[in-house]
Amino acid sequence: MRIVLTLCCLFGLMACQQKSKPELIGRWVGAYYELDREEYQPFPTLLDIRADSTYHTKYFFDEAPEGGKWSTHGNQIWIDSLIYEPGQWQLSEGHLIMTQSITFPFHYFPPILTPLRVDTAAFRQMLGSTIWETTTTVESFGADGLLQVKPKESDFSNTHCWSVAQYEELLFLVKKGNQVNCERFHQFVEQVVDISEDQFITYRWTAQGFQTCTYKRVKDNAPSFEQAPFQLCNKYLYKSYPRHRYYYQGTKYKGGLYRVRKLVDEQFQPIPGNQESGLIRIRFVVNCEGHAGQYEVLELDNDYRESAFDPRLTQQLLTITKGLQDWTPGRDDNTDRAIDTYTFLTFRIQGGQITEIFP
Amino acid sequence: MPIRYFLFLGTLLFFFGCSQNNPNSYRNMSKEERRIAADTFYNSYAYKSYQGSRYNQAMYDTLIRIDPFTEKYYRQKSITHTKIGDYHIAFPLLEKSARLDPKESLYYYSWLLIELYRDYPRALDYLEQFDTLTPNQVDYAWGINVHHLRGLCYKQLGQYEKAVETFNQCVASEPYNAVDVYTFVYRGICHYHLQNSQAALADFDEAIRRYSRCSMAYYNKGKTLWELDKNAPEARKHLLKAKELVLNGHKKTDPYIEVFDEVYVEMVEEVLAEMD
Repeated sequence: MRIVLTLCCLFGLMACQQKSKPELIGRWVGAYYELDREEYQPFPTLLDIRADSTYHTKYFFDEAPEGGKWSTHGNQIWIDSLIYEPGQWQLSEGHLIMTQSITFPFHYFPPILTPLRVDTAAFRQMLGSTIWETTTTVESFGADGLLQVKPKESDFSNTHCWSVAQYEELLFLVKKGNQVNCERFHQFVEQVVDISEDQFITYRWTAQGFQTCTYKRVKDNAPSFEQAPFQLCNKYLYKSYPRHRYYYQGTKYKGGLYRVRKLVDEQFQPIPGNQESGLIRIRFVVNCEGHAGQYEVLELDNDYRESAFDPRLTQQLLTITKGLQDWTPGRDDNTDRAIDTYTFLTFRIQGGQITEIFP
Repeated sequence: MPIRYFLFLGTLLFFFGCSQNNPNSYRNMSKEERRIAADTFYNSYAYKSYQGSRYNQAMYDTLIRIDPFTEKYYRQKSITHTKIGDYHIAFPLLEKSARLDPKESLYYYSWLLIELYRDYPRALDYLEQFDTLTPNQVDYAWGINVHHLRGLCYKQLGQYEKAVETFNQCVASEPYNAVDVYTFVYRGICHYHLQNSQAALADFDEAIRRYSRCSMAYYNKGKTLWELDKNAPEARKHLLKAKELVLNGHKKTDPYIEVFDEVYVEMVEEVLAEMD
């Protein structure tokens, strides 16, 4: 009787333990993590949860896969010694969402299983053999690993890097890096789901959701790629994220505001008869190279209500600010590497004259 | 638990959205009940999103909906906007907080108007209001003596005599050894502009006595000495000392702003070049 009871308990326990396992077992492609509501950052990884209680993780920025043990305990998932409570993981419409930290849910999708007739080397060669276009961009995959991406509505292109990664039979197009180097700043990973002679199709996360993207060969008149005068090093810079702002990151003008004031004083010509007062705030990004761009102007009266100055005054300050190109970029305090940051200059105007430049 | 948190936040927002047509909700609660409800919500969720995020802003919107009478939710919601120069968003929130509870609000807001808004007339007005809330008591805004802050405002407005007078009030309001070293430096700078060189030098010396690595005091002392005597070797000595200190990182700085009269190597070098 005892033996029967023990067996029943064991089977019951196994059934309980197994309950959530089949749903989790499989390969999961890291799509994004949510830095803020509707603010998505790439999460280029692959998590392979296997039935034998092992897992393997492949980061697309690190060739060496990592791995360990996983298990479920009731509704908890244990990944090695990390515990994911029920509220920290969920399966939703076939996707896996895991949250280790408080605010950043990590979102995985199951890879699409379609047989590809081309291996990694052949696909790499195919990419480099021509120029490709999507509905929104024209892209050149150079043999040197450099990727030029030109939005169709723009005259200029941005520089990144590209590679092809394989995990078992799955193929991925990896885009990363910037005009400086290929080391960081991955983009949303793209799973290659179909390849034919004149096109290939990828599946990826975009701001509009999960979508396929068709790359077609550009057959006529190959476009030229002229580097944009200003390019973000971090394509996913987010203004509301404190670590993407100037303070505590060390973004500054060489010689400080003392030098900025001198340069402004040398160039600023008051508009004759202008007696306007208020503030003109010019916000911009200082990228990891110390170049400034992406200017936004805000004009306010002395009571901080939006208003409009004489355009000659505003335009003059914008031109002068654009001429300030001796910035020291901010640095990531973890890696000490140069980063992009948002910063700004505010001009307080009294009677048409600049009385303060801050912060 | 962000998923639960967001669901909860969403539920709350939905509930409050519905409550516009449902007077039997928070509107029927007493101020104290609403304060407690908001406080409970704040204590549970404030640390779960970072400053400036949409979630964080939504949380403050929710708190203001639950308890529109507590100033800190307006003030705290404003902070991220001030820090990135969106004054037009921050200012109405700060004004609201000042109307609701001047004592709590102006402790931060009157200081902020000087440092991050450079709005000296408004700062003087609010510092005055803040100071009169507790008569016969030395007040501090964001930990700084209000007389020192008022002195800074007058200095920045070029009203140096009034600034000196106010810095004097600051010195008199504290035990002498507790007076901030920069009260002396800034008073010295005002004396310099008023061409009271001896008074300026006395203040810079006092600052150096209190803080031997005060590059701002060395720079201004060097400049004052040079104005007094174009051949004074002491002037060069003090400027070189200021330069050495700045190069070694000994200078008053702030991660958000340029401090008043911040010393840069270029400034020192320019005066040294004029000497040559």
